[in-house]
Amino acid sequence: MPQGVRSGQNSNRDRLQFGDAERTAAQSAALERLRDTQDRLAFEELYVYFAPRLIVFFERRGLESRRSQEIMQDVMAKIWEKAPLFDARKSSAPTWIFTLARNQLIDVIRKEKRSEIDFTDPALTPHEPASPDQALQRKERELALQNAIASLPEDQAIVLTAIYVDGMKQAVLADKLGVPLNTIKSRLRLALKKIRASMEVSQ
Amino acid sequence: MSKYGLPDHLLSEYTSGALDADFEVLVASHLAISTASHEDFRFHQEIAGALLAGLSIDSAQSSPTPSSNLFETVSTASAGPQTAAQSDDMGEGLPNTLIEYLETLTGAKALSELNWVPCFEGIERAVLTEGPEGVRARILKCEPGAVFPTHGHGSEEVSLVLHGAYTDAGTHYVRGDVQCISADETHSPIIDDDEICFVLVVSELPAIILDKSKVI
Repeated sequence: MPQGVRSGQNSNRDRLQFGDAERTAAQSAALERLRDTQDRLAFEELYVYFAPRLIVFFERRGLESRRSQEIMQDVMAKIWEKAPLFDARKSSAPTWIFTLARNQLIDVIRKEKRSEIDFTDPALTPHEPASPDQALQRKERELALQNAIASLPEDQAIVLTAIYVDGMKQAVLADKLGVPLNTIKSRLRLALKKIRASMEVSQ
Repeated sequence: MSKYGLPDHLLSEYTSGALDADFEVLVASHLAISTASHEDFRFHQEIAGALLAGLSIDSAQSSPTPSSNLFETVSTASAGPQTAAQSDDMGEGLPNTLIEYLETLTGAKALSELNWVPCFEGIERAVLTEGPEGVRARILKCEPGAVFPTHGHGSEEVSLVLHGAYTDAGTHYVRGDVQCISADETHSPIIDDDEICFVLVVSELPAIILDKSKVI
């Protein structure tokens, strides 16, 4: 049985804790320091938090432990290199790092050069300084997002985790859970609707 | 200006990296030449980021600090962070991601170098990928005013306008727009009569032509 389903059944372990928006804001600030002053301590702060989670992420995508470690190192190197592209108004550190990890994973799986995709990502376009107002908005948006995910019903949270973390296709997930594809589709639709609604209220 | 973007199910699978290469290139190309899906795409990326940051880890898996090796690698290899790269072309050309893909698959460096085969009156087709059931990804080259015979699909079909424009069921699709046709729909797009039109089309199953007399 693939990792994704097993973890789906234990998805309480993956549920987010309230108050994570503070942590996210601190991580985004660290990434800005890395961008602006090549701050080594900021890099370490990001490393301490994300390195083990990236390893878990790659393992859940089916890579061996050793390979996951190596690719984590590659992603951390990318974080350093591409820090100039980080724009805190458009993205948070976790979102930005997820995108780098996803691109690295696809590179590994497909063994092809896809360098330019990074730059077509709206989240990865050159930055401009963020005003305090915008930083506040981002933080509120982040809080709304995390609260919305944390308060999803179990069956919807399982679908969300399986799709975004484990990278499963909806049809595959339906097979694994033994439910019709339409059930998966409607759980995803409901989850996204709730998250969107709570983020709109926060604006 | 393009305004028709991608549905959630494609954006979520693109965000996670689960799409097959042909669908992925279509999505990446759309994001490169149109801003219609940018806000939605960012929403999906935010969810994925929050889930990554929310992953629980065993204490055994924690890596307290980066190795000095890693610092050497990052600081010598890149001599400090890179300068910002050019963003992709929002003008008239093909998105880089599609050019690279075409070259990898066919060796062609431009649309004119693809292997064009007539399929209907005024419409030629260059096949890019095939699955067990038949054609999956193709680019269609349509003369101004060309009309597609009514056809359906055994699976969802996703089209991205690369150049020119067409109308289908009263909606006008221009460069950068995406149209999704579900498995149980049929349609008959009509190309604008003032310009040639190139469309990238991807579906898991090949098109089913209802009026066979139109097939060349």
